[in-house]
Amino acid sequence: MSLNDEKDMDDIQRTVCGLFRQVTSGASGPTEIELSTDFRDELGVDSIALLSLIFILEQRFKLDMFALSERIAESRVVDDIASLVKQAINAQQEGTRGGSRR
Amino acid sequence: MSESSIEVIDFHCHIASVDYFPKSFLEGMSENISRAIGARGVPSSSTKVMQFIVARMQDPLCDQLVMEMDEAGIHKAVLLLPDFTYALKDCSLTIEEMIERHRRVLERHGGRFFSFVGVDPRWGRDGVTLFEKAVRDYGFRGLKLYPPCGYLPSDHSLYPFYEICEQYGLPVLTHIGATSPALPFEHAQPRYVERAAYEFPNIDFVLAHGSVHYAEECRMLCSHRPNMYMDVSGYEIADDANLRALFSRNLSHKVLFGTDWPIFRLQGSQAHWVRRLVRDEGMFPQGVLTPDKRGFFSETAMRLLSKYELRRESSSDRKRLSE
Repeated sequence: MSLNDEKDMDDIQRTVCGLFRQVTSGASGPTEIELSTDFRDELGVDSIALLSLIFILEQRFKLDMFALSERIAESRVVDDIASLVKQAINAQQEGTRGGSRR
Repeated sequence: MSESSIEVIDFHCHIASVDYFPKSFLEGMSENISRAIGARGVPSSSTKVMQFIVARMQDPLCDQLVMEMDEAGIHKAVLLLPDFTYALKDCSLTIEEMIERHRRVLERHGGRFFSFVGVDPRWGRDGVTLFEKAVRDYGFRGLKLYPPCGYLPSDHSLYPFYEICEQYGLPVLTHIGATSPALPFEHAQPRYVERAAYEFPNIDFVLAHGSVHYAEECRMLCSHRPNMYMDVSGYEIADDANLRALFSRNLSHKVLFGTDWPIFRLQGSQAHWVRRLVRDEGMFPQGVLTPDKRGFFSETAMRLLSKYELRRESSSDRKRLSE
């Protein structure tokens, strides 16, 4: 992972933590959302909140997050979602590079 | 009570496969969820919501379900097969084909599953024959009713099915309350089960989602009608107070644990949902005895499911004596 990648990952993690705060506002749970926070057990994220988060992530990062439906549903902690976003960005960049080479 | 000491039977599951749910049924659910997301100011699409739901319904042989049951400490589960094929015409399989596939799952995971079969009573005599064949030849152990498809549980067209249930010692489990907007909800009220329970006192009737929909009415019926029970599936997203009320009103012997797999897969694993009940002592008010908890998690379920074996044994005893 390069220095830029690390910076990108930090940004993504911060953004994802912030979005979890946004979709669970009003719900009971910890005020601090960390990467290790179990978003179902500790934040009480339900299906509406989870899908809302996915739609926002798609819009924010211009990604097709729904292609990762299975893996999103299997995720447990905040960092799992951040990692999936990072993977989706990488895959998209690879695809763009591959497309421009052709 | 330690987690390991509790035997758990999940009385309410479905095979996680789009083969058993009509497209219009899933589209209705997706549209409803999409509107709820939109109401939060988040632009959404019902097509994408459906994509997400379908992604969680890719376990036609129940291999993932068995893995999750093992992780959660669920020993056995009841697979329910509602018959949507009469009411909604966009099913990918016939009810006969669905029964056949369920039979294969029962064989594949020998001993882990029971299955209840639904046959819409409007299929007439053919439906009754199919139901009896499923029980007699394929090992189905109960009748699953889905009144939102457009019939009442006390309708006389169901009585031939109930007579078979009585003969074989099988329970009847009926959906209660709201469902996909693709179907009307009006027939899914607990009061419509009561007449059948009165007319067939030897059959056990289970009100599915009874702690979630029409909870007060379900409590009243289960409290006063000896052969009426309820399962708690849907507790995952319902008010905990309803669940606590059941245990504080001495109704533990009428309540069955159930998860409605795969409906709540998005929100958590089977282990998560069992843990929540077992660990959260708040669910069981003070004074609820360990035997009551055992009844809730498994013993009441086994009592209902074992009537088939008892009936079979007594019928072969009668046969031997007459020879």
